Amino acid sequence: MKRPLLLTGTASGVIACAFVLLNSLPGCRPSGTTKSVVTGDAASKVYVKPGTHDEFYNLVSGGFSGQLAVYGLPSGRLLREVPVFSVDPETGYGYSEETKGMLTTSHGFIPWDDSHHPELSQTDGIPDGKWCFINGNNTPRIALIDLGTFRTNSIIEIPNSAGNHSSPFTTGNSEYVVAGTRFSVPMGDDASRDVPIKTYKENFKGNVSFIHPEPETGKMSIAFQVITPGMNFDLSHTGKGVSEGWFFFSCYNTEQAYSLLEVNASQRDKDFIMAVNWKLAEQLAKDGKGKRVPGKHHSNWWNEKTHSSETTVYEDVLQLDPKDHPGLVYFMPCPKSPHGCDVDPTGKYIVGSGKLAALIPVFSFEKIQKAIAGNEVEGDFAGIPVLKYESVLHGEVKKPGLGPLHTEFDANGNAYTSFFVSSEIVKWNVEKLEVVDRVPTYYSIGHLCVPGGDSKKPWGKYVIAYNKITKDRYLPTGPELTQSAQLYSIDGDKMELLLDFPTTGEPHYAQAIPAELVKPREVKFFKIEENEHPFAAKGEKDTKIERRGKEVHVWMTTIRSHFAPDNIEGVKLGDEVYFHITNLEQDWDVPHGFAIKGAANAELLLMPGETQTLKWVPTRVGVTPMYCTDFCSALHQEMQGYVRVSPANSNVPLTALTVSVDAEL
Amino acid sequence: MVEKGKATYDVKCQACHSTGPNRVVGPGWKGVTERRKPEWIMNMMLNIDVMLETDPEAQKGLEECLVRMPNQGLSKDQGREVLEFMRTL
Repeated sequence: MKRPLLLTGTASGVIACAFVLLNSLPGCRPSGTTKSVVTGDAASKVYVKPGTHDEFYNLVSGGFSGQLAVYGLPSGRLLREVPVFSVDPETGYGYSEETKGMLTTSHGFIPWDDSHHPELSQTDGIPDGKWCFINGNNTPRIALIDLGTFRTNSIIEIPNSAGNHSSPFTTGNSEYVVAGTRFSVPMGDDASRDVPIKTYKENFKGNVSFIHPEPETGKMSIAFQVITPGMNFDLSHTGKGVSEGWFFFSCYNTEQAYSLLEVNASQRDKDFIMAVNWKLAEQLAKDGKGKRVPGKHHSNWWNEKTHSSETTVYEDVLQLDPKDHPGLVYFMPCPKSPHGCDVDPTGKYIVGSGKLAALIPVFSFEKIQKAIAGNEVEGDFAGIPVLKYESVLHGEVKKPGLGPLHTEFDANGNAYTSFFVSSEIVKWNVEKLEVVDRVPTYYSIGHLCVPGGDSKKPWGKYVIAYNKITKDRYLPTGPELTQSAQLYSIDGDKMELLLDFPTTGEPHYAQAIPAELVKPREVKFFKIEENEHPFAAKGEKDTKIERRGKEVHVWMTTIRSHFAPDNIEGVKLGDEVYFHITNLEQDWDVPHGFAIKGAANAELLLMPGETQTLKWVPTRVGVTPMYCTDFCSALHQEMQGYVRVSPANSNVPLTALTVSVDAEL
Repeated sequence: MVEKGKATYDVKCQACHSTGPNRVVGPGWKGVTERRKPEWIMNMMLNIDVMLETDPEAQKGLEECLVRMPNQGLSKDQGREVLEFMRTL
């Protein structure tokens, strides 16, 4: 026991020394109490007058909440949390009969995931405000959120993937979003997958998937997967402008370690940025050059007319092996365990952020093309050519800070890189590779976001830091603290901290877009005339009750402020009751809720014109109350009803009524 | 026209308005076209928010019923058809 303790002591000594050194660098994480570096009229720059709107939408990953959070900028006000990969009892998402299908996979119903990277759909390389994609890390999936409804439109499962981290970044016209596996795994049939872990080098493979969303519906399918040697993929971004047609992925663990990666995957001085010629891959797939391999997966889609999910199950997937197709994939050496892989707005430069490196390498697309043409390779990695580092390098930003993670860009040739270890944002000139400014973050920034900052057209104005550590920035709430983001102005020569704002879940990547590109798309309610739900009651005349064996189906409506029917009798113990509820309202912001005592699932929250179904299995004889949960009018508290439950052998006839004291109605 | 008006009534109005004389949530429609001018009825159907803000009669109705009449998203034509249906009551 003594020896490890001694070792620990030594290690802390080393770390302490390192911090002394760090503190001599400008912009290092300050020790001791929080400093407020806010100056001048910061407050007026983030003040959004009551009743007025923010300038930008900020779509922020929910991390281990599995959802997507929506904030307004510059105020930092939380507008909405969109349920994506996790069930949401508040809206009934994942609980209602219609939404359960959105969360089904080849593993069955999966109620949670870990969502990391929102990415806006693009037209001509510019975010268009139509959709937002986000990845589910744990049970590999990609979701598409419709920004007209801020609802999850579709979710596709990624086969042969494990830890879907390097995702879901889009090509310039959202022809594809990519999904790169973090863990490599053995693929194929059961026998090929049941192998000893130590046979990683022979049997484990990585891959990157190209997923095609249908432009009209948003339905997603996997166009093809590019198979790679076993290693880890971290992040990715599309080429644009001059590099249009290529995609770049950061790779680590080129050591091919399968245990204690903290040490074993940090051995080599350089890992790779992988360049994929996706236009060529697309052509190869079209020409039938791929191979269909096992890869069962679900693609779930939300039908807005039937207010129900639809699932398509695929048994296999088309794969392309770069060994068979020279020119498809190249590796570029990149120091060291690169994390972010970011392409500047011109598409000329690719920035790799080696999280264990003390410099930022910047690659030149022009030089990559020259190196490919001139065969300037230093060898191969499992049969795939590795280009010479010096041949493809634009240059290195020297001593920028410690632990570079991610880079975003403005429209003036500047890059903004987050530094986790030295806890700062560093602004540098992409062409000249010179640091021009730095500002501390509180604390330990992970991702960062500039509006449009990974596209062809950064809107600039702000950079937002998504921090990993909150510590003393807010009122304490026990051991578990709020997560946090910070807003900085980048309008002037110096970056300026304007605002801290708390976030839900752990924020990873985020996107921001001018509100004007999204607001005109907003759906205010669903037209009742277009409701094609098989159990819709379009008006109270359609309401009824029907027994189908042990199932009792109730066609029910809501309007301010009553249910029809609201008196139900003839339900028996052992029955399963399905409440199919249609909200008859046809105006904005008039949802009704539905809750019934003892429901083992959740409530329903019904938007105007929508039909949803809650299943309820009574557990005791008696009269059970149900009521509206969303304060809908002055008579909301009167919006209630009763269900009489009788013993299994009872003869009470099945009835569903709304009874008025006034006979002349 | 009357038939179309009845169909719209069934989906969008019936939950709150009876075709008899008495109130459910809002007033019963029997004889409504004798009590109210057609343009007032049309405005209530198509432009409820402005009516509740500016029209004393509409405001009096709200004081009685206490539930703001919902904007049910009727088109102008649908409004005309519902009005014709009202005339038959």
